[in-house]
Amino acid sequence: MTAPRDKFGRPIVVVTGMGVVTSLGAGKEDNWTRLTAGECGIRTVTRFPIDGLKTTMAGTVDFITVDPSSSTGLTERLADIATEEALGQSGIGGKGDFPGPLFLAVAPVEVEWPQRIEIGQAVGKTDFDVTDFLAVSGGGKFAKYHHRFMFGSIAGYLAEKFGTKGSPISLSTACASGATAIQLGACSTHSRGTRPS
Amino acid sequence: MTEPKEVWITGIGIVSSLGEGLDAHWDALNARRINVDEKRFAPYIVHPLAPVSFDAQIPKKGDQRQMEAWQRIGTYAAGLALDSAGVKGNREILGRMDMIVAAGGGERDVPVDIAILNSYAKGNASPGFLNERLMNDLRPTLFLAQLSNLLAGNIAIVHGVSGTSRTFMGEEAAGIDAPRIALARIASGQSDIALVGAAHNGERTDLLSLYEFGDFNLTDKYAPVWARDQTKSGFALGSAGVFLVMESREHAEARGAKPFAKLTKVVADLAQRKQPGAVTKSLETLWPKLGMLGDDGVLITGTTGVEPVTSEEKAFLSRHPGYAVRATGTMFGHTLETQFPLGLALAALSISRGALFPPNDPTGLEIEKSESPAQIVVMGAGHWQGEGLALVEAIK
Repeated sequence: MTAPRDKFGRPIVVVTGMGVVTSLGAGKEDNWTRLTAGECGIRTVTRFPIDGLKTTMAGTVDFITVDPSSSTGLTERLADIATEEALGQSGIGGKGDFPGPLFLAVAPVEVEWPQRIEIGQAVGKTDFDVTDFLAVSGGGKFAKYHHRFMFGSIAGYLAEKFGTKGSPISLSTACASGATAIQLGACSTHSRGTRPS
Repeated sequence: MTEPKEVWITGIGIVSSLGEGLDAHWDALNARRINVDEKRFAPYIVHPLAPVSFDAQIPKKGDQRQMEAWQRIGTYAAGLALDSAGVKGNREILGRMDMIVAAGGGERDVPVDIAILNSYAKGNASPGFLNERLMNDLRPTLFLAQLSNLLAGNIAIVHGVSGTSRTFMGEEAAGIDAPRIALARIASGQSDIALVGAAHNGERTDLLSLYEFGDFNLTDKYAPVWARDQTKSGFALGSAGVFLVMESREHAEARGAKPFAKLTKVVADLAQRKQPGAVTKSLETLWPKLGMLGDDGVLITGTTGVEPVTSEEKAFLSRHPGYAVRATGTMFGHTLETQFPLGLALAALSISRGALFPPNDPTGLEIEKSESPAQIVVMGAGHWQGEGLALVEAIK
């Protein structure tokens, strides 16, 4: 079988599945309905306190929550929902056995304030320094926060759940991140070079 | 499909706890020098950055000020790599040089954070308190200094590298995938020349805390990587920046560049580590993908010293007893994203100098190797996920 080629002689890459979660809703159907009805997803932020902030509105996904609350946890949940939808539509591979690599655009990650405050309270003093903070960080009490706040944690979770092949790539190039992820995916389909090896 | 292009390493920039530049590192490695600080963050141990005059590669003070240390280290190492490749200031080449950076980020203003947490502990935190303090106490540019992709941004601003730009995140694995993707892009003709590397500031209490969550830090007393064991495991964070200039053989020859070595192959995987032995098996599966390797050779590894992964790497190495092994973690500490590029840099440097640096290991796992190496395998296994191997070879 000869695959159809583009003008550079590369195999043509087609999209066979899409998943989407936005401030308008979860799934292509819901998003399309609301979009064509002229609805807007921009609203006052409720996910965290905005007291004193100059910016008070955003296209925020506030109808999905994760516990414990963190933006990395929420990102992982959104990626999970969108991937389920995309794979469901595509029908490719088997359950937990996607036959290709993962390229994921994600925001940078760091320990967040609810967790910092929790650890600060574990110090048990009202006047402490960073040495005290470090002393209560270990011992396994906060072990889950290591995984949660690793840069590779979301990609690692998706790779395990959906059985993507090879080393998953998490990338960040600001507003171009999504386009770069798609471009790397297209290139991996064009050439053997970036396929899992 | 056209034949894949050969990819050469034509520039190396290193700055670390052992100094800056290739001669300083070669001398330090041969003198078995180790620079650790057991006191500053006691009980945690770090390999602190050697004194560096950032002005030499980042001439504008304003540029230095808006970066945090990890970005300054990286921008500095990138400049060294461009100098080493002979392309510094060459606007024609820099204008189409692609860049893949493996980056962490998130460097905090720790005194501000701790002051805020103290107010919470005292019960002085009103609902708007956190936002007010963050808006008033943090300098506005800290945001830029924290962003992962701003290392690449600073390299573009300071050195004028302005082809395509990609930033990979994800700890050690990002440092394996950056050269893997750069190699694939150059081999397939999508790119002629690329700047690839990473930077890490190990002297950060916010990072010590993050790794302390998982009890990954080595404490109290320094020990070489292979001398750490189940009862005394862990990594000592290290500060380092490493960048490589990689280009196609044709491109290098056309401009008369002198190569250090050839980067033949980079392979990577992500083992599900719940099963004991998964990392050993992952590395065994990757091994034949490097091509036909002999029973003896040289292997430079970024082994962390944390368990259980270090024991699994030892099990893998024990199946290749003819290999002279060198663990970079002993001399440089653990530098996360930077550890694999560092291994590639030291492999290319060793090949170009016609010798391998001596063992630095009281346990005897590392053996002497007197012959000039023609091939060096570089290995990396992340402290919690990601495995990779690369093959660096002398140019025939």
